[in-house]
Amino acid sequence: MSSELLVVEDLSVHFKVSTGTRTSKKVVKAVDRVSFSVGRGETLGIVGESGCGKSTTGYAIQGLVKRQSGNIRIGDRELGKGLGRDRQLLSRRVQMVFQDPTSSLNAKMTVGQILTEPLAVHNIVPPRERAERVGELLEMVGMPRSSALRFPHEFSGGQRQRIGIARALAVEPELIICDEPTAALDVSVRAQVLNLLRRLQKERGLSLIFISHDVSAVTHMADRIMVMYLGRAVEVLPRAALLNRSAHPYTQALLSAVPVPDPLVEKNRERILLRGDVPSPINPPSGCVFRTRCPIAQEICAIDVPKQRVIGKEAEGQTVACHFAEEVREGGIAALAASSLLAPSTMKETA
Amino acid sequence: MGVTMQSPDPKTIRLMTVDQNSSTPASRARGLLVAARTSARSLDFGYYIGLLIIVAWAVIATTAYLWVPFHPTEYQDVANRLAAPSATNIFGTDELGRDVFSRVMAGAQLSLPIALLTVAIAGVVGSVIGAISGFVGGMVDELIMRVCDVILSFPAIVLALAIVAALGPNWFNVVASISLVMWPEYCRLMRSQVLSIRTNLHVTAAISVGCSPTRVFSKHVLPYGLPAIMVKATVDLGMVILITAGLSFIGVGVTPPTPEWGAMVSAAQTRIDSWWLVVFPGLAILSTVLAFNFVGDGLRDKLDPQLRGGNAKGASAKSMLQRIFLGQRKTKETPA
Repeated sequence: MSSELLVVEDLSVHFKVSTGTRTSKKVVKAVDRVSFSVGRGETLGIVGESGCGKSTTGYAIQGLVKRQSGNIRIGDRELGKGLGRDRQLLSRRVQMVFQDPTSSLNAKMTVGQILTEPLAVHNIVPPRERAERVGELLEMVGMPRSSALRFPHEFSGGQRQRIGIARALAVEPELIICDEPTAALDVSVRAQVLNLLRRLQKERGLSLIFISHDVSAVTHMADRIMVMYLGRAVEVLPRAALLNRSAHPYTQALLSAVPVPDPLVEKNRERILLRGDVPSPINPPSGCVFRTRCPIAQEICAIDVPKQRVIGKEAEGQTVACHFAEEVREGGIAALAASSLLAPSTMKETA
Repeated sequence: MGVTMQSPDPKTIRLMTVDQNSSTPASRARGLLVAARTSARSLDFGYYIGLLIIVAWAVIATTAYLWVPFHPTEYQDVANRLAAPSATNIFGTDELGRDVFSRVMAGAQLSLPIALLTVAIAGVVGSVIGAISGFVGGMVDELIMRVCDVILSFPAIVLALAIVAALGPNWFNVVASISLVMWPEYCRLMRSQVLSIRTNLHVTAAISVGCSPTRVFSKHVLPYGLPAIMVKATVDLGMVILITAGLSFIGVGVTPPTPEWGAMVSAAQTRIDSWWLVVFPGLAILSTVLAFNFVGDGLRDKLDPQLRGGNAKGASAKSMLQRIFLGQRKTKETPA
């Protein structure tokens, strides 16, 4: 068997929305034909702005939302489409860490009860040894054993997220999906939580899916990064390629928005400003979804949906969905937009 | 290409990773403080006063016939009718010359069980059906809600009246009829609670952990829905006593001469001059309702880990303020 732990093919999640009148139900393609894989012990980062479907992707893998189509394989096992049957099995192998540790922990239960629950539900540890195991879990995430007797509200945000991580670890999963685990935290404790995740991953050979809109957090964590825009994966690239070999205009624009902690560099660098807003996912643009805001959009972009294709050497594992990926990768998006080679066409205005 | 980025400097990360282990002396002291506050909180005044009143009434209810100075129904001194409170009749006498004190004490024997039983039946049945309605949804929900609508569309007293009239006037039929009228209110309340709770992140997390639907429901949805039900139940206890009074007044409730608080208050309505006829049974109702409110309030606070150990004096206005404050802070913390 291959070393891939999780293989996702053509995953689509659609939500029905009513648009006022009962008769016209529209469909939001929250996630649209996204494919990727996560190797054992690997961290895949998913970045994108809010509403791009990154969290929904995580929820769909964990079976918390129903998927429209697509296959999800964990190890050798193909997962069924329903929400029911595979749940039990799935939750032994895949666990989730949620964005807001305050609301994801049951406030009426003690930390001990919260951590015992997965052990009891899956009957992993015999009842007598559960208290001991809870203690171990707490120590694993750097909390004192005595925390088990206290309630979640008695802890700070960072500590609560540690409890959330301990809960995810309780079943000894192979994959943990972290849905913006640091978004609700103070900047001062973010690094702690990130480093904790990294340490645990190294110690236990976990695979991670790290979902975030924080590009610097993702680069800190991930081996490979998937960039999403409007429900599609626009680019998947190894971390090493992110800084200077990204091949999608959106990736480059996203990176240029990340502040650099050096005033000189910050002052002199060029920022790529995207005009307009993200189009409505109910009515996405034809062809390439990014074309309405892409500085180098051409006529072909409105007609052909760019396929996800390998760029560079196969072994580098970079795939991109852009008609002009090679040019973007070589030239950089800002320079391209300025030159006449791929000048902004009139397509944008007519869109 | 104009993009430069630096991955976080390892040194800064190490600096930021201050160990938050809470076994430092300072935090241990804080733990002790919390414990001390919790024990001070358990002196919660209202809760214990309420409990005391309820226990007192329970004792009175069970033993009243053994020690009251006059027999509540058989003793009638028509010559001494409508006498104001005095040394012999400390609560005065009614229009048949019966001793009001004896009747109020003996009345507890009927009023308390009726109120408790009615609220218990309506509360449990209503909450269970409402919870199913909210959790299952779909056609089941639709069906249950329409049944509730039908019952709620009648004025409570009229429907209860019709049911008791059909079943025959005795105290158990009063209980049955009022619970039948009341359960849809609990059903509605519980359903709305469940609907909002089931979308909470902690419920999603429980599903993600692998909990079965039954476990999710009993461990993660129900505990969040119960406080509202408890508050409503304590308020309803008084309501039930008054509805019973209404039924008794019309003549389908507790039949005279059986002493019952509501019936006594109703009968006194025509005799405004004799204030003691309405005041003493009224006070009995008031004290019971207040006591249950106190206990309900205290119990809810005690069941809520976020309030437990929160404030030393345990004044309920203070805890309410704290709740409001906590609520506001929570919404602020929720990221967009």
